Amino acid sequence: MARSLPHGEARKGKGDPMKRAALLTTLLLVLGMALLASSPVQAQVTTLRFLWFTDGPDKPAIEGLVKRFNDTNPDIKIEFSIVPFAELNQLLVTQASAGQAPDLARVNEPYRFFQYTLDLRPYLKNKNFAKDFLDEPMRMVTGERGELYGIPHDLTMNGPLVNVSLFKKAGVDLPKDRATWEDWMTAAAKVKKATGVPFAAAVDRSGHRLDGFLQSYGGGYFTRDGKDVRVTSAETRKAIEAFVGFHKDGTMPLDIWAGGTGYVGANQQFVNGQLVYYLSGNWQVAQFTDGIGNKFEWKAVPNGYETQAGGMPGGKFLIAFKNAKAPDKVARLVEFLGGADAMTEYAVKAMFLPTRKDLVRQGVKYPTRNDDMNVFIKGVGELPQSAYVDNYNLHFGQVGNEVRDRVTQVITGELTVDKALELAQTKAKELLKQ
Amino acid sequence: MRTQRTSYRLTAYLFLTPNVAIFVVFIIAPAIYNFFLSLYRTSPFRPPVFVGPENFLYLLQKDDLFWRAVRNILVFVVGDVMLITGLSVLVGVLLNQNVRFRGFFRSAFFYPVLLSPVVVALVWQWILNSQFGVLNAILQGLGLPRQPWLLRADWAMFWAIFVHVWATLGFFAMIVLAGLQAIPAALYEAADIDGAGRWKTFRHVTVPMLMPTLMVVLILGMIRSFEVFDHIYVLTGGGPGTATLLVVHYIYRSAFQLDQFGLAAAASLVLFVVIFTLTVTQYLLGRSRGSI
Amino acid sequence: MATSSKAMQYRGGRMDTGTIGAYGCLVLGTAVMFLPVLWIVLSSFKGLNEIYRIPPTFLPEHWITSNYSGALERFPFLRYLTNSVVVTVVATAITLAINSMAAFALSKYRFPGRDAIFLVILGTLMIPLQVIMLPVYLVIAKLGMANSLWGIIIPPSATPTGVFLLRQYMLTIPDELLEAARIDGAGEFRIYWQVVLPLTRPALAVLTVFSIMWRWNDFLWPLIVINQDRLFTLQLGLARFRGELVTDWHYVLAMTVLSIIPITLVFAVLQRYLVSGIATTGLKG
Repeated sequence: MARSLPHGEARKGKGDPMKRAALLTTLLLVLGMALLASSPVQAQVTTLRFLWFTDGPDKPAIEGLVKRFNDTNPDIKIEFSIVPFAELNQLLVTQASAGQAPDLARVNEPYRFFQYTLDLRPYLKNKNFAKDFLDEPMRMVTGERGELYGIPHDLTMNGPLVNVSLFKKAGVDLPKDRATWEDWMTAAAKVKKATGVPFAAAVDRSGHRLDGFLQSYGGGYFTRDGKDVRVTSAETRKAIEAFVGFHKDGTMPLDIWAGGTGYVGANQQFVNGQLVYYLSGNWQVAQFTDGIGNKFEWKAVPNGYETQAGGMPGGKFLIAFKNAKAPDKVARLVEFLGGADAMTEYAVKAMFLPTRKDLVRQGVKYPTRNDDMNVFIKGVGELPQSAYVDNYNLHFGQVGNEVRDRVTQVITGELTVDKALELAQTKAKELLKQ
Repeated sequence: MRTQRTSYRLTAYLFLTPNVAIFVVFIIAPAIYNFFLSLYRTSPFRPPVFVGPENFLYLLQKDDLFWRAVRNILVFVVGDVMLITGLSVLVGVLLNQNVRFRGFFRSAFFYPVLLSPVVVALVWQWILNSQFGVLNAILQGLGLPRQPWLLRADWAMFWAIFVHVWATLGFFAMIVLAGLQAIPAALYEAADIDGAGRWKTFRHVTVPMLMPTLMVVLILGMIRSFEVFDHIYVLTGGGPGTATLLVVHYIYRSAFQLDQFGLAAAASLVLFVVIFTLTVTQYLLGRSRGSI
Repeated sequence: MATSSKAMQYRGGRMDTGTIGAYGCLVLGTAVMFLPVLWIVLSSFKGLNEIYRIPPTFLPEHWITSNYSGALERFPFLRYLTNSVVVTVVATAITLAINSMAAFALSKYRFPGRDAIFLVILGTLMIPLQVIMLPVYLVIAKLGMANSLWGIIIPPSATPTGVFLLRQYMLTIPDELLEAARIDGAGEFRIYWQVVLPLTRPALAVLTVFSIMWRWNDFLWPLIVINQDRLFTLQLGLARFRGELVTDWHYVLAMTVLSIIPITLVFAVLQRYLVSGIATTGLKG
């Protein structure tokens, strides 16, 4: 029967391409099987999974330490992997909920995982290990009944960095020590006008950075006892208004606070010499040393001072997870990384601040940029107590996100300051119920 | 006769099994679990607590952000689906013509689909940046003022739709292209003998024969549009403010930035019901026309 | 059968206003599609600071290759590439097999629950990954597929889009063909394999491309499932350049370009199968 078949060569069907594809697939299936087969298990060596996220200079620092540990502990092999920060929480929550979390992970919000973390106390050699570390950061990895889930690994401090060359070029003096945010903004605006750079001042889009700004006005997110929120307090309101005002008058660009979601940083603009005043933190120092080189002069300056010093402490933590197969070995790794020796090496190489009391007391000598690092360290000393209360509150991350997003809505004109703060306050109270 | 019928049905089920089994194990069962989770309040510190309809009440009565997201997604879907359906047919037909360098043109239209959503969003962010973006540079070159493209609510939504269409048009054009192959040449020649012009042929031969394919484009396009996340999240972050906050973004934020998994589950259930209803409607309409 | 001049037109005869119009649209459309991608490729040869320059440059001022060499020495490209290839090929083979089987059942058979099952399959597209991530991972872990390439091959291979696409296409295959084969004594599987599948070639080609693209670009799910560096795929390796506060965009660009190359080659080859059947059919009378 002659029929016009619309589908191209009908009976030629199976033909060569399909056979070839089948062959190729079988080949690759075999290859795949080979790859999928696990490597032979060596009973004497325990493998520990160590998860990390990096911002550059910390990578060689931690890799060096991992190698040292592997060399001096032949019965342990560390499997070290790096993941992007943006997906870190998702990844850990998902894996932990199925009992597949890594043995040790670097995180910035440890409390998120308290359901899944391991109490290291029974396995630690040094029974007073916790006391070696700064109290407030240590609280962040301590459970309700004193469980020790990990250690604070590095301390960060919020603070501004300025492009000194631009100031000089514009012939504007840098404001003095106890200058207010207003002073700095005005100066930066003058410099922008004189030199024609695109951005006068910028603050990272972050609830954490914002709180540092609020602190100097006496504002903040949480009450003293940490059990309630004070987002709608008069001091906070005043600070937010000032912050929004700096956007409305053009000193701070919309690009950062209205230009994205989640975290948005302005480091690239600063590195390119397009930004005069950048409120960020000490973790930028190492990046900037590499990225800026000799292109222009820059330095760290103190936070704005309204009624008190501003700024926010922060940092990263190492936490251990319950599903670890060899908790005693994990404890060994934690004690190593938290020891004075390893921590000094890490802090110096990565240009971070240490979290051990002894190291903070005796100070750390950084190979470069010692002065800038010390501006930050000094700032830590001047922090108001409320800064610690906020940052080390278990809901700080969530509330920070909420306030940050509401403030963005004010900046874009969607909400008034009062409405935004009211909504944030309500949501924060909801979150505290968790 | 009965055994024939049974073995016929059995065959059908057997063909279905591998695929459906994977769905059930890896998507449907977890989805059901998720929907049950919507009745709980979750916390990072303790196991979930049963709260019944609380999440839904909060969502539908007290949450301004959720309603914002709903409003935004409706605008987005309408714009996106209209453009995709129209353009994919146009492009599909064009790419089916026997022109020189056809392979090159096809590749060019399909390239954006191959890029990961993050890269797509980043490239367009750069192009649209108000300070150092290419588009503004071109405008300035022409003597026109720079525009704050992604920093204005209405423009941000426009670009969100544009970028998504840009990144997915090739996908649907390919589907249309495949569908065009199923149209018998005999029909075209019959129309030609009857003296039909290009446009008439298109209307009376191409379009009716393309109906099953068009249903794919319409339904698939609509579902994917409702579910869009990565492209827009990286491009605008839901901003400026909440101008491009979409529902899946709201879900993501609730789950992974606020640890409110129950709330996220509730929102996902609402979203599912909406999309499913619309899809079933389209399906029934299409079936009555015999195109699905 | 006499071929009229109009039929000649469809096979690429002389130029006319319609054809010029077609070319015009194609060129314009191609420019809009292609230029941004071209910019990525060009930018991958620029230094980091030139990438962020105001105003931006299109062609690199200084062509450098250090983005490529720098990124390549930072991770085991070949290993990640191999993993990506294995996952993509195996998953695509499985996808083609099971999707086409399911589509065949849904389009060529009548049985109770047919429409319901079809709608449920479509329904699986309506659930965002974010909300099923945790329970799916639990399932994977319980099945022992965590930290295994199978864990990223099997779950995504049942693509609902694929089933939908193939089903729609198979609907256009005349049932008479199947009946004729049955009368000739062919079993159901033979009908599937020797009658229906060959006729579904254009749609299968499209699905092949899609599947390769999806698996090649899979990111979030593999990130969660794979723990061991030696099993990382290319996308996972790429992501390590994205830190919390800093992203090495120059490396991201270079690696993005490298990761697009294999898949564009595949597409260039497979798109040939989308040639209209007009040239070879109907004329044989």
